[in-house]
Amino acid sequence: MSGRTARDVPRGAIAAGFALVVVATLVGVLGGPVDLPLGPTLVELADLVMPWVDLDSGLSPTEATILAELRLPRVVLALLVGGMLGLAGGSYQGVFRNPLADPYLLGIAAGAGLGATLAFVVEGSSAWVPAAAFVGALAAVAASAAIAGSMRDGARGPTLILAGVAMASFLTAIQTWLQQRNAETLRQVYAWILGRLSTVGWDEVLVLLPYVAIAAVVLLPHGRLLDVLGFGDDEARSLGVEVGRVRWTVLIAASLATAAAVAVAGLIGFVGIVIPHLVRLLVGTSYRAILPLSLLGGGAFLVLADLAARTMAAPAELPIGVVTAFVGAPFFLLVLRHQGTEGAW
Amino acid sequence: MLSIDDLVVTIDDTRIVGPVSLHADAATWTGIIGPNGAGKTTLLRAIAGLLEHDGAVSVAGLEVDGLDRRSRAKRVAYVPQSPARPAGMRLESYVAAGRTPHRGYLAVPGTEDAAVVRSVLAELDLRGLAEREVSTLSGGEMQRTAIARALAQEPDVLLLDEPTASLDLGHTQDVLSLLDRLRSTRATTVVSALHDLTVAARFADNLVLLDGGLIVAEGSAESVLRPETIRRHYGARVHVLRDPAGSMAIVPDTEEPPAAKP
Repeated sequence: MSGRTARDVPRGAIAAGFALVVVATLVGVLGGPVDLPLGPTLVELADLVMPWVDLDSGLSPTEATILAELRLPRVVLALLVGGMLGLAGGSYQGVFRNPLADPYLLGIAAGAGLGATLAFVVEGSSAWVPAAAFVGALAAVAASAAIAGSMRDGARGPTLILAGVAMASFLTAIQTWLQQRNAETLRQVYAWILGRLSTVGWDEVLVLLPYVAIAAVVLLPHGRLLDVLGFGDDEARSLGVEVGRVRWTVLIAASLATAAAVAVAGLIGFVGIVIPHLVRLLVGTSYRAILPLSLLGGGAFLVLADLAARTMAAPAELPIGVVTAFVGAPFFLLVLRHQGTEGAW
Repeated sequence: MLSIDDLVVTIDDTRIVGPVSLHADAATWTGIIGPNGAGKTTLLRAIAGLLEHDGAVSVAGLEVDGLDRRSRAKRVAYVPQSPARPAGMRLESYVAAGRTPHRGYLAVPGTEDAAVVRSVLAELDLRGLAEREVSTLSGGEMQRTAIARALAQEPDVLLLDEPTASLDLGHTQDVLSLLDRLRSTRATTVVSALHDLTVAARFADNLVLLDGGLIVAEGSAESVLRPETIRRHYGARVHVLRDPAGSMAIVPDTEEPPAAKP
């Protein structure tokens, strides 16, 4: 059967996803206020990746520093954040059997934002930000789901999204209030809320890595079970699936992914909905394909979005959340229109 | 072999079904009949473990209520009246989902899973449709596909809710003959809700007539499908005829046409 199962997870598509990540990474490190030359940069990258080989790239010390300390960590962070948002979006869509589920629309990102803001205000430092964002994210998704009754079957429609949007507004209101009462942290939080990858170095990447690893290891093998959940609760149960356990496991892991992304990069919308939908259009509806390809595609997309954010208004930088919204919102409207004509709601 | 002892389903303090006790041997077919709202679907879902219930459900002497879902799904398979057709899912993947209870939580399918799926597809004559998306199947094809997924579970007991509800006469016959063959070749206990009494009389070994959530008649078609019984529980006037081969036919009585008709 191996030849046939390949159609659910097309190897070619996974390979194309990796290729896309490599290309996006290259484009991401080459572009910016200082254009780095392609050939020497490739050699320098090889030198960085393989420390046991000593290669002379011919880049000037300044260029080498720009590459290693500015461009590369930023591109890697964009890969991780975008990958987490894409993977989380695909996972939420599977759990809720709702094609519009997304970390942003479900209020999860706003919950993570409130948690992170609380950590800034109370602690004044960023050590607790990811953990606080995780608690906020989980609380938000639990509240949205409880309001919509979606932990049971049959709430696939717009109720969940509406509950999530209301939840997001409410949480954002609390967060704004907190921000105003703590004017000394205002600027810091404000820049972060719009989504930013601009001030990062390798530290943020290291903070993010364990969360990324846990979320990916937990979520990626759940594709087959999410496909079974697609039959509905009754049929999934009669096929031996503990529906509640699968839901909560995926929900918690996806919220961890969202929280990690939000904690280091702020609120970046639409990645979680645009990327899984593109994967569906191109490769099919099995979550065994959607989850890994959303991880890869989300990463590549955010690297390119960040490049646009860095270069489009140069020398100023656009918040990356503005770029993803600029691309994502029209796409979201197209999806809505498509759903409407198909009568999926 | 399926044994049900004093099964009771209560929803919102209202008793929907029971107490019901029932026994069905391996390789037999039990037809559950009864008027709309009698509790046929509720009874089947309770046996499948999809509804909370009191009383005991045992398969081959083992009480399945205490089992986890995976162990239960290896013994009892359930085909709902209108199985979901997830968008974009191919028939073969659909059938392969029947192997879910035979694997660990996140395990990938093994060679045995593949072999079972292959043999089920062959047995149900579905190989030519393996690449089709289930959303594009006809009613009869979909019903066979749903039965194939249930068979991939390799269950001892196969529960079906109105397997022919949306099928025309020819496809009804195909599906029922298929089930008839499967229960003898696989020694499966088949329990199905059936709305067509003539079909029920023809295919089921035993009939269970449910009304108001209780078994009101049980046994062979001859003993259950009597005109006065049908009149009492269905509110219908019928003739029970015999065809030359001895099969029963339940025919609506037209001697007293409804007053509303001119």
